Amino acid sequence: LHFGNPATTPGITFSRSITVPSGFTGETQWVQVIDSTTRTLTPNGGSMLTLQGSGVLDTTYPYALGSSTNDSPGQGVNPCDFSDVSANDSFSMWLMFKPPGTGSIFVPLRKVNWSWSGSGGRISACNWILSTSNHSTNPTDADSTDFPTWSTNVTSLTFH
Amino acid sequence: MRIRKIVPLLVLGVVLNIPMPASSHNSGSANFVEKKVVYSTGFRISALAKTNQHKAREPILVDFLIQNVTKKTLTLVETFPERDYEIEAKNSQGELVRLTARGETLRNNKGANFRVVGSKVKPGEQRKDTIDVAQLYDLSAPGVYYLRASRRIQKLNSDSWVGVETNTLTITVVP
Repeated sequence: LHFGNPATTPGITFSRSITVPSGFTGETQWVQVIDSTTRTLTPNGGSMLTLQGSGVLDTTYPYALGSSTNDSPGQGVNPCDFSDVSANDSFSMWLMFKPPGTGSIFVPLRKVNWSWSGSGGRISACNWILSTSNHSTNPTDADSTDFPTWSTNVTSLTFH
Repeated sequence: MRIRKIVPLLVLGVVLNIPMPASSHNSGSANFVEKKVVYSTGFRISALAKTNQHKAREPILVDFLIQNVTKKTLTLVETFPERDYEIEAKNSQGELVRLTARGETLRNNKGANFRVVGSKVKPGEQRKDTIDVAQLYDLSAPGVYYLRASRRIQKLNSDSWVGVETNTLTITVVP
């Protein structure tokens, strides 16, 4: 179950256009926080497993460098060993800027909230159908003065 | 900041069991398999230890290199290094080494992907990721260990994926 295809058509693509005043320089980075995530997996004949978290860093700090980046989150499932899968994620992506110089820090410039969700079920031995799906469509970004904060990294979350 | 595009593509795919290629030891047939895999993906991967001898309970840093060996820009799918490279550690008896708690977490949540980035890799360009293998496997007991990793890479001009393996590294842990 996945949102987009990272190799061809990512679920969401972020790009920046920035004009630094003459005589000034600096660098930018992308930082993404997962505002909330709920992933579920149901093994054949077993109880549903859930992975949940809120306010967690999305995997790496920073998320990416460069003028653009993208994301195609997903939930893998062994098609023959599970009967249901679902994902419901909300994210905040920040564009950060840091001027040169000792002691300078990255500060937020812009922020955009976005989300995706979906669910699927096994209909026969190892064949599945997509049951529900939803995602943000061209979400609007805005100036931001609040810094990204998180309590832990999403890679430390586990299914229970 | 502009959200350049967001595509209405939500897909339920299946996880395929991709057969791994044969080990990349220096036998003629193994080399043939490796060349075939490299040719089919356009990427060559390798592992390189900064040093072959490590003190017990200290970091064991291994560089994983991936290079575009074609003459055109390719897209590489990245999550994070510890996930992208599935490392296998065996002791001198050929037994799999026990995972650390961190290693167990990563293995158990293999299907949960949040940061999934497609990035462009130019012809000849090489990317390097450094992983502390001691964070993933319990390599605290002195002895000889063998490390090898595989990475799933999309085949050229295809929707299918194949596992590409690195060379095998020999690591000695001393008291």
